[in-house]
Amino acid sequence: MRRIDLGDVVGGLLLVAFGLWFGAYALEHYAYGTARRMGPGYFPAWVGFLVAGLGGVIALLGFLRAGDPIVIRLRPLIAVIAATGVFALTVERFGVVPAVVALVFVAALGESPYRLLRTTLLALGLAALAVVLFAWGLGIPFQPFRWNP
Amino acid sequence: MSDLLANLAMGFSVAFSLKTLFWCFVGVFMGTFIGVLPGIGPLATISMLLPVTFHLDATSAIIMLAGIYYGANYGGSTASILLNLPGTPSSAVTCLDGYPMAKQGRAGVALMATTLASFIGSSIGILLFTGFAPALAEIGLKFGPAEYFAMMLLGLVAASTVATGAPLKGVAMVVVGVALGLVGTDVQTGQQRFTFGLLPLADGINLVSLAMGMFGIAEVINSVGRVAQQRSTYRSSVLPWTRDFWRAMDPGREDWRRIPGSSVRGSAIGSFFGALPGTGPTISAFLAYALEKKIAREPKRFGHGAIEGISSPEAANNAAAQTAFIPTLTLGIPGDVVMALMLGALIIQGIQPGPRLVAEHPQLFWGLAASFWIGNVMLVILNLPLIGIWVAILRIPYSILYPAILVFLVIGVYSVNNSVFDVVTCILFGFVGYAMNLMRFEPAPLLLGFVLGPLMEEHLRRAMLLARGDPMVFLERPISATFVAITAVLLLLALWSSLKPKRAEGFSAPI
Repeated sequence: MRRIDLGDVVGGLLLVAFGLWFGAYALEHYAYGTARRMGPGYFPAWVGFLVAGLGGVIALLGFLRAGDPIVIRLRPLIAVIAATGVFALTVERFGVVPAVVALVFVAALGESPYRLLRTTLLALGLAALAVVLFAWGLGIPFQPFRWNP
Repeated sequence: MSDLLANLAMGFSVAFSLKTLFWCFVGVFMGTFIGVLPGIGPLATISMLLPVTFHLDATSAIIMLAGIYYGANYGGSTASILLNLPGTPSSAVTCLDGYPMAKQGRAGVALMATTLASFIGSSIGILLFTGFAPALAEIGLKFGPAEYFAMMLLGLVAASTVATGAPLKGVAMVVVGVALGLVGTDVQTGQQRFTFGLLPLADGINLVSLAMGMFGIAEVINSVGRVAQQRSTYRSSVLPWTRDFWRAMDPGREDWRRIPGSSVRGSAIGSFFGALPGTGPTISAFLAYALEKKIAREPKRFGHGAIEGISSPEAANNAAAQTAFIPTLTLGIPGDVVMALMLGALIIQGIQPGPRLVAEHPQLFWGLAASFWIGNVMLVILNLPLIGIWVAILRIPYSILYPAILVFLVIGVYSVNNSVFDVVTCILFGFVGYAMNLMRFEPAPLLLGFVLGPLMEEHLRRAMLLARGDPMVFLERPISATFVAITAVLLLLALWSSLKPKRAEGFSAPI
């Protein structure tokens, strides 16, 4: 099989899909108006179809040449998304301190070996720093602890 | 002239207040800090500190953010010299001669030369900023909506085609950014667009969530397990009040003579390209290096520790960092993505950057100008006598750094509105940003389009209303026609270069 630039092809096609959807959604749901008095749908429709057009050209050119291989490193991806996700899930229920601690423990999974002691110290240190810096230093009102599961 | 002096005096009275001095120091300190650290750059840091600025007044906020931006240029060269790893993209070129100097045992000399050159570059940039910005604002006042639309178009196209490795993809990302910028309530009709009934989206996608996701989270995912710990051979155990400390930094007579000339040449290049949309500190530094090599009597010295090879680019990137504020503040057109964030920060503070800014918020404008001087003096102190601190910081392993970055990132996003929705949006954009990274689509143009998109729509609507729906208005008015013509040329060049085989390399380094 001939080599293609996979990144450009996939990315370009995604842009085509996004652009067409964006433009069509704007046309369908918002008034288009006239060039003189543009409605809320006028500009978004053009922007959407422009994205689709550009995406098409990118994908087409991507078919015509070889590109660099794409290497997905799943471990850091999952660790970072999960860590921040855990923060989002816990912060309203248990407060900022437990959420920060949980984030650090999950985030540390991104690298091996897992250093438990170092991670524990880091988690506690960062939680303390967050409270001191944000709540006391900047006066941002958030609760270090709460119980609202 | 007396006006200028009176204004500067007023600026210094603002900048010397204890509060402003403090935030200026925080800015330049953070800037140097993250400039030194490879793996995190000014863009991620500014997005991270953006939420903090909402709790400050507008002047302190912009002074701190600006300090990060120009401070990072000072710190970036330190990592380039000591580790051969650019701390910021703009100091990538400093590796070429800075690292050989360090290997020859002249690291101290190189640090001295880059700090001096940076200071010269900044000074020239600031002088031009104070001189030209008010004048440009006067011109900007005469612009109508057609000129503004054309100018923003040019700015976006220039930024996405000139500075990126793949121009066509850059343009596509700008337009995607514009599309995302349209989410929210339409100002003219009150129509909710693309909100899907989600209340938090009525004000549009949160700039902080978008920026932190694309530059913070995506960057961390990319770097985890990859940024190896580096060891520097430079020992700065010598304390700054001893004679040996300064002797290690003395370049010697011949090199002393080379610094001023090359710095001034670098500053000239940097000042010019910094003020243009689309070209910034990074390109300026590369051009300055190329020029020095061209005019040198013995070009062979370059790459083996030629002092002009570090002083000129460093002067250039610092000068560019200062003049980049000219179009941002006076026309509301950010030249690059960091400036787009500054613009966003000001808009969130309720200040509209544009030609009226100088007249309506003189305290902010002149206070910022004065803070540039103060900040640069602080940076010289931070980077010469206190260099030992930064050398020590180079030893922090990334495995400690990245959880800390993530913590500050999510707390920052969360604290803006105490909203979990914002955090989730941020994670989502982090994922999108990582995917874009894999497919080699650059996030910077997207953010630029996001900030400018809504303004462009507004100007387009007004221009078309005034012209009774005739699009020829953009070609009939001379200034706007010029902008459109340059845009068209850039687009053709972009198309042409994407048909050719791929360019060897963009300027990729942590942003």
